[in-house]
Amino acid sequence: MLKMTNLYDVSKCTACRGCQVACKDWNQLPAVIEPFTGNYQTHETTNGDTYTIVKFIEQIDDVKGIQWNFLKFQCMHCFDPECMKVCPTDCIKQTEWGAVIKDYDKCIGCHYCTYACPFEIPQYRKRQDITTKCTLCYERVEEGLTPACARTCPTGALQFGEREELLIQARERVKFLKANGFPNATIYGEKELGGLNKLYVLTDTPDKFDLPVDPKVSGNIGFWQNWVQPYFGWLIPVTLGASALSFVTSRLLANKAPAHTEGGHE
Amino acid sequence: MQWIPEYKADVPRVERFNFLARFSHWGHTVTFLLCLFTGLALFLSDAGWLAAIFGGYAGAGLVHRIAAVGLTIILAIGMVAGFKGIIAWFQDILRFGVNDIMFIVKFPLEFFGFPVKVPPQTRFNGGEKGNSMVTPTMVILLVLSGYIMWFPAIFPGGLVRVAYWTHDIAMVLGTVMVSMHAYLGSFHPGSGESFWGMWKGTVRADWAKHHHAIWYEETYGDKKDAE
Amino acid sequence: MGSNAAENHPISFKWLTEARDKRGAKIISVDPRFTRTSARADIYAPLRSGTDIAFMGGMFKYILDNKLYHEEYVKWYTNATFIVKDSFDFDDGLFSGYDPQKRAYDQSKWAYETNEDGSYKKDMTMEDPRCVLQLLKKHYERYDIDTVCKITGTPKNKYLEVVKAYAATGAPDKVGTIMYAMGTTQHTVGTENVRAFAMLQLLLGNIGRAGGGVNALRGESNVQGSTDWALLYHILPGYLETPEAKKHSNYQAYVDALTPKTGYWQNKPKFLSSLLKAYWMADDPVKSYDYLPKRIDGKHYEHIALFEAMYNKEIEGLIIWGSNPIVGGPDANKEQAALYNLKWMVAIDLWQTETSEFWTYKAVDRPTDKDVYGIKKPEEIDTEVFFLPACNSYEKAGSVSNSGRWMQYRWQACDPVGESRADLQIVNDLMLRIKKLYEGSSKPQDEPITKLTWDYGHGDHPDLNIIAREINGFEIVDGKPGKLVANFTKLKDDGTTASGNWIYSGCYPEDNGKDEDYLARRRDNKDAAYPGTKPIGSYLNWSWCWPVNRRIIYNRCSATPEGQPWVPDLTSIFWNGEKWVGNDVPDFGGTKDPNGPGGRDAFIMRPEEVGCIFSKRNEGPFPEHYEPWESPVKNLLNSQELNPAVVIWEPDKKADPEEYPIIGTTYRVSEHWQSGVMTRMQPWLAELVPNVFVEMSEELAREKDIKNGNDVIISTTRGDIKAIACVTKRFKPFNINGKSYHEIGVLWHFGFNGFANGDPANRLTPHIGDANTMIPEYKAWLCDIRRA
Repeated sequence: MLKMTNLYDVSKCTACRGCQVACKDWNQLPAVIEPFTGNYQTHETTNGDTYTIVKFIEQIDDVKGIQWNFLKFQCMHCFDPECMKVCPTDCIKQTEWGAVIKDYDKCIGCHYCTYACPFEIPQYRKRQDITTKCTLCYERVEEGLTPACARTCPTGALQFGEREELLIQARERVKFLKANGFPNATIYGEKELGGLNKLYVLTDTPDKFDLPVDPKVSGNIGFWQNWVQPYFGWLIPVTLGASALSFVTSRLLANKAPAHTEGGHE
Repeated sequence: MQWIPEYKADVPRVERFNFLARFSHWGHTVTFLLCLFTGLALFLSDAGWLAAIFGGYAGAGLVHRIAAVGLTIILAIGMVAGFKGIIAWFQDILRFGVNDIMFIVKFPLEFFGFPVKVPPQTRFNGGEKGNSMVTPTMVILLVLSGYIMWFPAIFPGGLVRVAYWTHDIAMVLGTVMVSMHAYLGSFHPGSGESFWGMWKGTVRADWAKHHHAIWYEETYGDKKDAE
Repeated sequence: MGSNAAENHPISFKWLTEARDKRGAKIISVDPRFTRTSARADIYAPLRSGTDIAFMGGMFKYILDNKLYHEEYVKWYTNATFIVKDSFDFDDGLFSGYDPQKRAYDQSKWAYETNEDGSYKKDMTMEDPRCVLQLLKKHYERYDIDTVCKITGTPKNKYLEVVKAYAATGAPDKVGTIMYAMGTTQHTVGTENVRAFAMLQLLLGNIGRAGGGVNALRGESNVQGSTDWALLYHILPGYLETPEAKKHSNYQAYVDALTPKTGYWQNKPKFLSSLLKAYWMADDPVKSYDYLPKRIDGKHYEHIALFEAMYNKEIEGLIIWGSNPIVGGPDANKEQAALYNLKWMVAIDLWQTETSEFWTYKAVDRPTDKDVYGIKKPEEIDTEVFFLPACNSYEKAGSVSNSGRWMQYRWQACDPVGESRADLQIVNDLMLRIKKLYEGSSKPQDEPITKLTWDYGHGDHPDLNIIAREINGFEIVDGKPGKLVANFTKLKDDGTTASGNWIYSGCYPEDNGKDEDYLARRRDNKDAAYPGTKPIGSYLNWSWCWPVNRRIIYNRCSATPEGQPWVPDLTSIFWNGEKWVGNDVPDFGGTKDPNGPGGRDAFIMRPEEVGCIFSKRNEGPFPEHYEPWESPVKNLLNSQELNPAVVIWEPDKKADPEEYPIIGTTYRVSEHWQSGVMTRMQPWLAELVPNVFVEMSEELAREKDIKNGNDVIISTTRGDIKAIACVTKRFKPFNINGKSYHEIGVLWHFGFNGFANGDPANRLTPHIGDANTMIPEYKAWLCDIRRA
C-alpha cells in the first residue's frame, strides 16, 4: 500500500497558524491559553491539548541578514516509531499508509512514548491520564479526505498525498530553492530515523529550524529497549529455576544422609 | 515432603529480629511483590492476563503506585524509627571478611544440597551480607527511578530516560536477590529455620549456634558474659 | 509596501506564491520591521514610518534619470504630455495658491493649458519644460538617493535593490503590482502616499494590465462594498458627491457644478436622477433632490470630526453599528470621553463590545494615573444605551464586494442565534417603524420620510431579490418597477429609470425566475481563455463585478496604442480589426478604433481621459514629503514640517520630541481582526495571541533595561497603556541623517473584553488625519516607553 504523507514546505509558509487552529477544530481540543512571553509562538512545544504548533525562530544570516524561520512542529509519524516499541500496553500502532496512531482506550499515561520520542512529541493530558499526539487525521484520510491542517493551509505550504510523488515534488523544490537564494535548502524526513511520514522542505539546515540535524533515538532508550528488556529479565526465571532445582536436589541429597535433614541443624 | 521446618516452641530459642525489623521486612515484602507483579504487567509484552488480575493496565498502574507509596512510607518509617537497628545492620555488613568470602565460595555447593563446612558467621552470613548490600540498593534505585518516571515533567529529559533502564535493571537484580532470599529463608533445608526468625522473631538456639556462631557468642554466649 | 499581506490578507499570499513559483515573480517587502511577509519576500528594506513619499520620490528620480519608464505607455495613456499653466509653481514645500489662514490651496492655479477649442494642450515629445513629465522631473530633483535614505533610514544598498528590481517592470513585457493597506493610508499624507503608487505604476506602464495595478488590501471583507455603498459622508452610492447646502442648493446647481465636460462622468445626471427615483419613485428628481440631506459647506464630517463634535457636546445621539471606536478609534481616551456627552446610544453588534460597554467599570481601568480627558465612572454617566444583537455573516445571506470589485453572493449557512438579526432586517424594521411614526404628516420637512419609497416585500426579512433588482435598475412603468435595464448605459436623467447604485447596474439584467439571474450568485470556476491566448485569471462567469463585469478597469492599457497586447501571454483585450476582444470585458468603446479619434483615451472616468501623473489633491498635484505631525526629526526636504493642508484638531497635544523621543506605530496580526471584538472572544484565537504586545529593537530594550516578556508602559500626550515587550531582531533603530532613532510597534486589536484582553493601543494615537480623507495618522506618532 502506498504511503500517504504530509509535505510541509517552509518556503511557502506565512505562519498564519490556520493549521494549528484547524487541528483544534477537527479534534475539538480546548484552547490552552498561556500568557505571551515575548515570542509569537504560543507554546514551548506541543501539549496534551495542542497537537501541532508553529515555531517562530529569529536568525541572523551572514549573507541574507535577518531571517524569521517558521516551522510546523508535530508528530513525525516515523516509519520505525520508537513510541510504538516502548508502549507497555501496545496502544500505538501504525497504519499501512504510514500514520502512527494511538488507541486512547488502552493508554495509561505512563509517558514512555514521550521520552522515547527523539522529538518528545507525545504530551500528557492530565484530565484523561493519557498522552496524546497528532493522528495524521487518519479518520479523515480513511474517508478520502485530507488532514485538517493540509486542507486549511491557504498558501499550499502543507500538502497531503502519495509519498513518492511528494518526494519528487520536494526534490524539484529544493533544486529551485538552491538556485534562488537558499543554498542550504534541504529535505528533512526522507532518510532521518529510517524515514519519517512527514516530509519537510527546509530553506536552511535543520538546526536553524530547531530540528535535530541527525535525529537519533536516545542511547538510554536504545539500551533499555534493545538490551535490558529483551535479555536482562531472563535472570529471574533462571533464578527461580535454580531455586526449584535446589528444592529438589537438596532434599534428594539430604535423603542420602538423613541425619542432616533435621530442621535447622546440618 | 518437608516445606518449612516445624516451629519448635519447647526448645531454647533466642531473639533474632525485633518487631520493628519484622514489620519493616514484611511491609517491604508485600509492597515489593505488589509492585513486582503489577510492574511485570508493563515490563513484559502481551501481559494483558497479568494486568487483568488488577483490573486492567490502568488498575495495575494504580496498584503499582499505591504499593510504591506504601513501600516508600515503610522505608521511611524503618529508616527513622529503626535508625539504631539500621546502624547495627550496617556495622555487621562492614565486618565482611574472609569468613564471608569462604561462605560465598562454598555457597553454590550448599545451595544444591552438597554438604559443606564454612567458618563461623556473624549475625548475617556472607550470602546475607551480599543480599543486604544488593537488595536495599536495588530498592532505593527502584524508588528513586520510580518517582522520576512517575513525575517526569519536573526532571530533565535525560534523567528520565536513564530512570527507565535503571528501574528495569534494579527490578531484575532485586527480584533475583529476593527470589533467592525468599527460597533460602523458607524452603531451603538448613536455612529454613530463619523463617521463624523473621516471622515470630526467634530462632532455635542450637540453630543459631551452628549457623551464626559469632553472633550467638557475642549476643547470647559465654564470651559475652565473660566481658 | 504599506501592507503585510502574509499576516492580514493571508489568502492573497497563495497567489503571490504561485506567481513566484510559476512565473518567476519577485516579492519585495518594504516595512519598518521585518514581518511575516518579509520572511517570504525576496527583498526586504526597512523604512521609517511616515516617509513613504521620500522613498517613492527617490524611485521617481531614479526611473526618470535612467529612462526606465515605459515610454510609449506614458506618452499615450498618461497626462505626462499635458502642458500645465504657468501659474503652477512650487517652492520650499508649498505649491502656488496657498492660503496659510485657511490651510488650503486655490487649485485653479494648477490648471492645464488648453487650446482654443477647449482641448488640452499637449507636447508629444515630452520635452517642453511645462509638460507634466518635465515638471515631475523637476519636482523630484531633490530626491536623490542619499537624501532619501537619510530621511527613511533605509540602508542605501537595500534601497537600490528595491528600486532596481521594481523599476525593471517598466519594460513593456514586464508588469508589477503594488499591494498596499493601512501602512500607506493611515498618515497625514496618506492620500499622497497612494497617489505616489498610482504615479509609479503609470510611469512603469502597470495600470490596466493583468498582474499590475495599485491594489488595496482590504482590512474588512466588504470595505469595497462599504465605499461603493457610500458608508462615507462625502459620497452617495456609486461615488456621486453628497451635495453641499450652498454650492449645490438645487438639482441644477449640483449638475452644473459637478458634471465634467469630458470623460464618462458626463453621464452623472443620469446616475443621480436614477438614484433619486429609486428613493422617491413618485417624485420628479428635480424635486426629490431637495429631500437629500445637505452638508454645511466646508464643514468636516469625518470620524475624527464626529468625535470632536461629540466631545464638544454638539451631538445628542449615536447609532454605532458594527463599530468599536473605544478600541479602533484614534485618541481612544478622548473618544471614550466624547461618548459620555451623548444622551443616547444604540449599539448594534454580535455581542457587547468595549464601545457598547463604554460606561462600565471595565472601561475605567487605567494602568497609570494619567487621565487627560476625564474618564468617568458609571454613576457619573447619563447616556442611555440600547443594544441590538446582530448575527454574523454565516447566519445571513447577501453579497460582499472584494478588492477586485467582485460582488460575491453568500448564502445563509445557519440560523441566527437567539434574538440576533441580520443588519438588513434591522435596517428594514427601523425604517418601517420610522415611516409609521411620520405617517399622515403633511409637513413639508417630513416629506423625505413620508414620500420615501420603501417596499422590499413582506415578512420579517426584506426580499433580497427585490433589493438586487432595484440596485440593477429598471424602467419605471406606471410609477412602479418595470423592465430591468441591461446596465448603466440604459439609465436616463428624465425620471424614467431608477437604480439604487449605477456602478452595480448590470448585476441583475434579466428576470427569468432563476437564482442565477442575480449574477452575483454565479459560480462557474472555469477560467476560459480567448482562442489563441492564455487565461489571465479573469473568471468572467464567477460572480459578477462592476462595472459591467470588467475585471481589470482601464484595460485598454493592456494593449499597445495600436491595439495589440504588450505581452501576448498577458492578454486582457486586443483589437481584432472590428472590435475589442479578449479575456476581459473591454473598459472602452467596444468598437472604437484604436487608431481613430479617442482611440487611446483609456481612462474613461477621468475628464482628462488619460491616467493622471499630475492630479489635484488638497495638498498639491505632486506628492511632497512632509514629516508626520509628531516627528522626532526636521524635514530635510522643506521647511513646512507637517502637510500644510491638514486640519490640526488638538494643537496642544503635539508631543515634544525631548519628552517623547520614540516613534510609535500600530499594526495587526493574522490571528486577530480589527478591534478584536470577534477574535478575542474565540478561545483558539486567544490562545494564538493572548496579550497585547509591543515590538521593539534589542537596542532599545537594552537602553531601557527591558527584557523580552516584561510588562512595559507606553505613554503619549494622550494616554498611557500597558503592554508586554516583544524584544526582537526584526526591528532595528533607524539612522536618520546620522542620528539613531527608535521605533516601536503596538498591536491595536485589544480591549478589556474577551479571553484575550489588554489595553487599546489607540489610547496612544492622535486626533489628526489626512488632508483629503481625514484618515487618522495611526501609523506615526511619538511616545516614550519604560518598564512597568
